[in-house]
Amino acid sequence: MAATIKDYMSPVKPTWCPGCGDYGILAAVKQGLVQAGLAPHQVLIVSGIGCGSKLPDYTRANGFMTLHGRPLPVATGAKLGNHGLKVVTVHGDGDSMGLGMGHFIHTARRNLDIVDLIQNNQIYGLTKGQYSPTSDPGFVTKTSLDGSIEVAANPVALALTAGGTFVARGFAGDTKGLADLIAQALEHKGYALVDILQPCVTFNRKNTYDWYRERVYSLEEEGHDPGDRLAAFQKALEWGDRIPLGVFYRTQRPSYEEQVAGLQEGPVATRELKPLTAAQIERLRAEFM
Amino acid sequence: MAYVITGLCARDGACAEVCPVECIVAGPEGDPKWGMAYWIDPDSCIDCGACMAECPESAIFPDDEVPEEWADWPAKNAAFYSEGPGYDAR
Repeated sequence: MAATIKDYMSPVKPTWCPGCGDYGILAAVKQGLVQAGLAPHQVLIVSGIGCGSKLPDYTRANGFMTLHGRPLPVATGAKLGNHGLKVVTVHGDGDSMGLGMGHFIHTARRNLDIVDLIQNNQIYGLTKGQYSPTSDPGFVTKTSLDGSIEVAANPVALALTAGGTFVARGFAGDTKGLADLIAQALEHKGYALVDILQPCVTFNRKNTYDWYRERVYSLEEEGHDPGDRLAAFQKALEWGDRIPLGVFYRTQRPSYEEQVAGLQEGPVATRELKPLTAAQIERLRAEFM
Repeated sequence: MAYVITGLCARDGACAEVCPVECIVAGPEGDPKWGMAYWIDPDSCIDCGACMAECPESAIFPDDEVPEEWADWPAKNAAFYSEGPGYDAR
């Protein structure tokens, strides 16, 4: 029997601020999982540290809250330990583009079969409002009193250059559109990024729901070809008056765990544990002698 | 889950302004069936509670906490979108 939204409902109530973009993301994650035909026991959601990283607690899927910046290494281990599991990471812009930037590049490059959701609100909300790696230049916060003097990290452009095979961007204020993108990412085999533009109603008074609504548009409606990597990169650089949403790029190449020789017999987690034969022990011993 | 507007609604409209997914619509003014309130679309509500925090009349409740006297209002909110004018009234 197919899973429904109810199957994903957790008894734990979110502690996010009223109006937070994370509510829209949570609704879209649950809807996307249902659309992709996945039941909670088939899914592992790995998060880091941040407001949005509380998300696994608010679903009935398997969850793992890791350290700040480290959900991708944990997700990599989980996927290699049980590649029958659908592994989703969900973490903020500080987590993914700050401390976790190196992991992000390498996970995309390896094309590990996971879905990477970035809750991108351009600010550190949990620690009460410092500028983040994705903050726009000039963005004034408690730690950038004269405005940020850094160029913003661009998750979509970075994933494209690193070798991500599914690269998309959604908006927390468009739950249905976001759920659809998440469902497509779940159905993709390989590394799938969904960069999610998300207002922080408490600490980011610039990038509000209205600010986004005036700017976002659908790549699909403007006839963008998601098979064209260069066109995708051009679109990834578009920011400001117009902000593209949807699938930037989609391609196929073997995923990381598909190519690991030791995993060909099936997921390690579900294999029968058999004692070594005398011949196998002898061979092992010979390797070390 | 969804939030529900009840008969305490005084048509202030702050809820519709803050709703991040724009799923609150005013009943057409003067309409005897729908004109007395704003209505939340339960299928689109993301349970964020922004409307409840904003409402000057405290007329909005989570659907599992609606007071007894407004017990039929969750169904009324849903009906505005399934049988009533819904988003066309915007």
